[in-house]
Amino acid sequence: MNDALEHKLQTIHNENQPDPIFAEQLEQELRSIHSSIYLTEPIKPHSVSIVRRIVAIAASFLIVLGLFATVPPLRVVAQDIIGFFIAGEETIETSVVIGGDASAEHNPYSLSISELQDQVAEMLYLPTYLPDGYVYDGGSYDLQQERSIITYRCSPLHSIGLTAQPVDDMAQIMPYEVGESANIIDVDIDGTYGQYVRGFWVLSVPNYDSDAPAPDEPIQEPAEAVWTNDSDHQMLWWHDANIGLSFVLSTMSGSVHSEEQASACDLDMADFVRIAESMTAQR
Amino acid sequence: MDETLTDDALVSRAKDDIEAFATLYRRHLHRVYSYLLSRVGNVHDAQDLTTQTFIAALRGMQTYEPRGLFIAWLLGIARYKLSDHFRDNHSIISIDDIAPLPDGINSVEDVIIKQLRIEEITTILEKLNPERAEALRLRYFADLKIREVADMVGKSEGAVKMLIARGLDDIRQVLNIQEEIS
Repeated sequence: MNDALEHKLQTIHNENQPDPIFAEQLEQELRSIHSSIYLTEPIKPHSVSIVRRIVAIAASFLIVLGLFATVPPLRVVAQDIIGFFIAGEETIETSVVIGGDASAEHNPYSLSISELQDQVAEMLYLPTYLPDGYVYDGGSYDLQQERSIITYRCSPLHSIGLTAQPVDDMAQIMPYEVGESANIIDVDIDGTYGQYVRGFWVLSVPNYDSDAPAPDEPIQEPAEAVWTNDSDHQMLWWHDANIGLSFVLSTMSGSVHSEEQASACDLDMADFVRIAESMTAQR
Repeated sequence: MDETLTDDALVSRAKDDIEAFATLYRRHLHRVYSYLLSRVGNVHDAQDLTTQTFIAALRGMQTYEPRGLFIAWLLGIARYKLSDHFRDNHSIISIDDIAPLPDGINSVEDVIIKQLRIEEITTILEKLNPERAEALRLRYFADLKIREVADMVGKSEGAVKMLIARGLDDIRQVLNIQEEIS
């Protein structure tokens, strides 16, 4: 019986070929899209976008590396963290930009909630629940990407960022690379699928001399980013199809885990999910 | 384009060479489409989801890491597309909607099996244990090997074999029930 059933299933598979006209039209569409994506912006190994993502997430932890004063603010972090998670390499060769006038960067999170509401085209969604000690710290809005970023702070070393961006579906979000050993956890946010991961990229810059003055002009140095799970850095990502928004909730600072560093501001996955479940339209 | 190149070799070229991506597309179109068809049960939605899947794959090419199977990566995207699809389209064909056997046919199991169509299989699979149903879809409609199914669902090969065997038994049981109703 099962042999006959297996044979039938295979036959159904073989008989249900995609329509040739559909297949041809889709191939043409893919060719057209390929031209618009890749021929205008050639992809290089460890392209700028990947490097920016790696540097971005690593930038959160440069306190650990003593490079805090030499890197751009966390604006880059928030702009690049949107995406779902895919496990990649455990170690990535990359590069970082060191030096330049960091003070020239303005505070990217300067908007109040009402100012943010004025800029957001559609609904602004905010959590009605915040863990004890966390308060609104500022927001920003990227008009081109229609992306809002809101930060909440508990202490100078404990803040979280909430990014929201309107997209039709998850495929419009580029996956976010995490290390091969990362433990990506599927979570349920009131019926909405989400992914949670704890860990971060530890960045080391072999040629960086922390005692030397930072160069006036920014220079690019080779670096190595190594993923570690032993960290208090966390990210939760979900796409709410009902409202057409993708969200990323992430700690915006962090360190290698240490019991001595335990703080009342520390968060865990349950806190992240609870924040996510409390998202409510503001107007 | 050299059709004998491995998926990973094609992926490494696909960003700069559309022919490499087109080869990947032609190589895996049927498996992705067939898998999606087994989930949605109708050609229109299967075509729509197939389109979305390949466009998303093309846009996300630079993020693909050639350490797993390319087809598994594609099917992962297809699954995301399906989750959105089912979130927006809640209607599922009832098992009761499966067309009864024509009059006069002896209701032996093999006859029932021979008359099965993709729409009916889709409906039956919806009623099974989700893990067993997914193992069956990946094995027979995405045409994956047992080892590949195991990688995708995160189980051992032995566990996948068990899921498939039990899933086939479940289908048989459903068909028997249908036959008795008819």
